[in-house]
Amino acid sequence: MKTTLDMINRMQADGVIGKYAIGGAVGVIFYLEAFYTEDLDVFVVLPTTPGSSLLSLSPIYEYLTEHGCKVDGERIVIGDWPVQFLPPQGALEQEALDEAVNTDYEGTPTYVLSAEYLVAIALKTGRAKDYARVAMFLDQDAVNLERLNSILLRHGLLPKWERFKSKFSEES
Amino acid sequence: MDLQQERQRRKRLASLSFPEKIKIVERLRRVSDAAGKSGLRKRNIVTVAK
Repeated sequence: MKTTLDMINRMQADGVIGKYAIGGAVGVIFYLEAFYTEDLDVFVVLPTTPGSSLLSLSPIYEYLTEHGCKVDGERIVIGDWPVQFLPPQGALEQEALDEAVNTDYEGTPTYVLSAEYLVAIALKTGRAKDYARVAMFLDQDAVNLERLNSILLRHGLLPKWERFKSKFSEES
Repeated sequence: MDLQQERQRRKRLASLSFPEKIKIVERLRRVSDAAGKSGLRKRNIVTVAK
């Protein structure tokens, strides 16, 4: 993982990507217990080309392949980790990136999405595994509910949240 | 193990450092990869590795 994060930081320092933050399962593991996951999801701001509003992941893939990384479907293997780069899909993900938490991994600085944004994005995405992750955060009191409510309100996710809570309380 | 003990166990595991938790994930992935190569079902092997 250290090699992976070093390479992502190097790519950022070289201007290929802007701000980034770890999300997905590895983001969840930062706050909760470890569980199996195949890859590392990295939310990333892509610099736009002057005169164009199009965002492309190509510069990331070109940079990393030039540095010896191999493409594996929609992921790229950096060190031992297949990595998926995810540009923000909307205001929620953009805000999540802006509010990402600074941390470090064995001396390598990095960023992780906050617990509240991980929960909000999981609710928005809404697959079974996302709901399972939300349940884990609630079960372990690992999320600030006041902060979460404020995010959900801003992004129109309160109806989903209410539905999830009523289902979660039935099952627990 | 009752529900309360299970919660305590999970809290203890969650309190490990980020690098410690990632090392557990990497170990699970190695075991899973070995299982895949030997044709065993991933889910069974990951459960055993935990």
